[in-house]
Amino acid sequence: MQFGFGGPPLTGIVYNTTLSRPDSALALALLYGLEGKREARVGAVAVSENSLGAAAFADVVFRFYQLGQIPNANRIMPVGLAADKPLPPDSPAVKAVLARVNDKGEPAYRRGIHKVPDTSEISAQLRNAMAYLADGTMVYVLSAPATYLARAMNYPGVTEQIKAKVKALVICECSQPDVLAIRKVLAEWPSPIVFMGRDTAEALTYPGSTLDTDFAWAPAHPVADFYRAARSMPYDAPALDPAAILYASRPAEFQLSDPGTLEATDSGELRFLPGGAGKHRRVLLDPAKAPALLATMRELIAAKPVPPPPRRRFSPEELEKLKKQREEELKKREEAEQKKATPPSPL
Amino acid sequence: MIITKKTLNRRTLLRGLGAAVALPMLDAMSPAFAASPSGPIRAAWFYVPNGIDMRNWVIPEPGPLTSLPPILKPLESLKSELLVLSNLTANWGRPHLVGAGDHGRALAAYMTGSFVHQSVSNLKLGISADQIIASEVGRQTALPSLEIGLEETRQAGNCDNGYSCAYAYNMSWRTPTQPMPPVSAPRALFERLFGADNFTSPEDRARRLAMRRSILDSVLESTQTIQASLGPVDRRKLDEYLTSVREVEQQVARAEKDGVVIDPGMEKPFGVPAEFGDYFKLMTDMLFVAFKADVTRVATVMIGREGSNRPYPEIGISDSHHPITHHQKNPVLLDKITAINTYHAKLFGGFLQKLKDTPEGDSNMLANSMIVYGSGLSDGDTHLHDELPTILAGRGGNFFTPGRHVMYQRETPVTNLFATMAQRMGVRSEHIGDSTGRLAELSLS
Repeated sequence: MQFGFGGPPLTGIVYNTTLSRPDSALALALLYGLEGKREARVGAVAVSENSLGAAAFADVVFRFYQLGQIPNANRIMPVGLAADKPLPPDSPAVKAVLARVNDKGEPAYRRGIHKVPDTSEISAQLRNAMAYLADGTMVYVLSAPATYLARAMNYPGVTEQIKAKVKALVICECSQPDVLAIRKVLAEWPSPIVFMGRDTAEALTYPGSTLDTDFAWAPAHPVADFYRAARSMPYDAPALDPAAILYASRPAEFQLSDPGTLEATDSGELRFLPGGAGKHRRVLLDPAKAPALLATMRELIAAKPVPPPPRRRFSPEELEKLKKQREEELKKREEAEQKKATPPSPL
Repeated sequence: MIITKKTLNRRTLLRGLGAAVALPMLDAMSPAFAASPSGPIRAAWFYVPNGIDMRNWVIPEPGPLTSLPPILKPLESLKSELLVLSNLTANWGRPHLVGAGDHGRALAAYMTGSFVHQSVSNLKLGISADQIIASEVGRQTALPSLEIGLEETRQAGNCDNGYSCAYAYNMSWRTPTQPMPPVSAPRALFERLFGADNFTSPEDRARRLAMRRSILDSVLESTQTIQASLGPVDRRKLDEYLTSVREVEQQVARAEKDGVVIDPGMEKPFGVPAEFGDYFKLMTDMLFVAFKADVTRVATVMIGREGSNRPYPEIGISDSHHPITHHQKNPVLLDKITAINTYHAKLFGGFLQKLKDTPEGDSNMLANSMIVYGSGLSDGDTHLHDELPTILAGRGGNFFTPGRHVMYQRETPVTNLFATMAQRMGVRSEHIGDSTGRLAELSLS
């Protein structure tokens, strides 16, 4: 899971989803579209309240966007799955993707997840993902019950890590049956929280009639297959999760409300209450900008896989120079640390 | 257990001229009906450097251990005592934002579950699992813990891309800044265990060494006194124990005598057996005696330091270990790695067999132990810190259900295993490093 592109650190997006709606599949495509454009990197994808097949689907989408052979296991993105209770059966949309075969009768898509141990323990994954990302570059997108995020917050040192690494937690308007967990997150999360409501998603509804055109370049595309099999076509899908991911990467395209309070009702509904001494904000969208933003979103969702940037080959002289630079850098750091450790002389 | 009216203090030592020898757990030390019939629970970690050839380690499916993969074949006769655990991770061994230095981090992160601060002089880590356990359990034994290394140690210098050698050479960390250097010299280990320098004046020690007198000879009088106060079963136990101590002592003496023919191609301290297998056996024989005598209940054994360059000429491998682990899928190099990994497993099996063959309480020493065998790297070529090769041998006091392969979800911290072991030993600490809980499925009951 090392995806260094060089240059300044990119926004790392961790996406916790139920993968139960068509827009969540579109959100995965959008994630890899942003990664292909070097605008963001996928920190982790974690699936909760869904089946083993749903996790396999997330893995299929990841592999679809990797051109050629994946060089080694360090480059495989682990997919988290909440597997601490009985898993539901695969949805028709998931089944359609996993069952698709090519002309030779072989599976149409590369797949690395076949059993639960092929997935990642979700809370550990949500915690571990932070270690890969530079300070202040991470955005969590939560479109699932907060159970596992709240659990990860209980681990030692995680609060400090969140403070250092996470620039925002984006919570999508979805059912939160684990009321205690979401309330813990809302009360204790140590970095800004923003709320992506369904109203914004409605303004960015993905037009199902354009699906075939958007994905015409791909003879088989797992996200398109998922979308087609999720409901009777054609249908439009409010892009709740894609909007949240687009906000994570391009916050300047949106506005934020004045501070308010996001709260969870006893029945697990999320409510944003403006004003007061709240510390949360709601994501707003200028209606005039909506058509252009939707076009951008469609373009990113339908983006083709991009090969990773070629690894630069250094000449022996350049390598020697880099080695010397690194040694000097380490020496300076050591000296600085030793200086810090030595108390100044009173004289 | 034979119940007698005779009692002996648990910390009784055989004392004599310049020496003191700890005793094994005897029936006379257990007040009738009060003690556990099983004996003490112990924990040990055997660390394999440079990862494993995972082609020949991985078992594809969970379930009962039927046939073992090639590297584990030497443990075939012990498979009913093994839990093979898959998919455990040492997250802080990974490069993250730092980059190179995987060997510098692998061992340190494995045992502590902590971020390894990249520095040559300013060490910052965490407390290792064994030391967290030893801090609570160690009060019950003469030595809180025992740190053994089968390679010379270095505590300073840059060993891997700006990581101090202390990270690659120490498994045990008492505090985030204080490693517990392992003992690698057989004589030093023997004296630490049985020489009891704490009870010896410099004059006595010098005189005994000058006379090359057996430690057991030194405590002969004390032995006879104690033997007279014991029942027949305890007398036999004590006799067996003292015999094994004498055997180890003789091995140490032999090793020192043979020291002049040490292969000059390797850096070894005086007194280390020329062949690695003999060295392994000698050091783990002493660990066995230490466990048997309840001198300690917590131990770490570093089979090699992380990044070890040891060759294994006795099995036909004259290449250094670390370079060949960067095999780039070269089948010749992979076969050599498999040979080294299999050799280590065979030696480890010898230690386990000895524990299993030694009755203790109602079962045997292995049943009362939790012995971890593993590495902080899986594939040494690409430096993977997940899917770690991990075995838990023993039953932890008939608690675990071995003879199985358990596959966890990926990213499950290996420290969850250590936290489970700590809990089994009665340690109250909730977390060990980055642990997220206890491992499920270790017991079927």
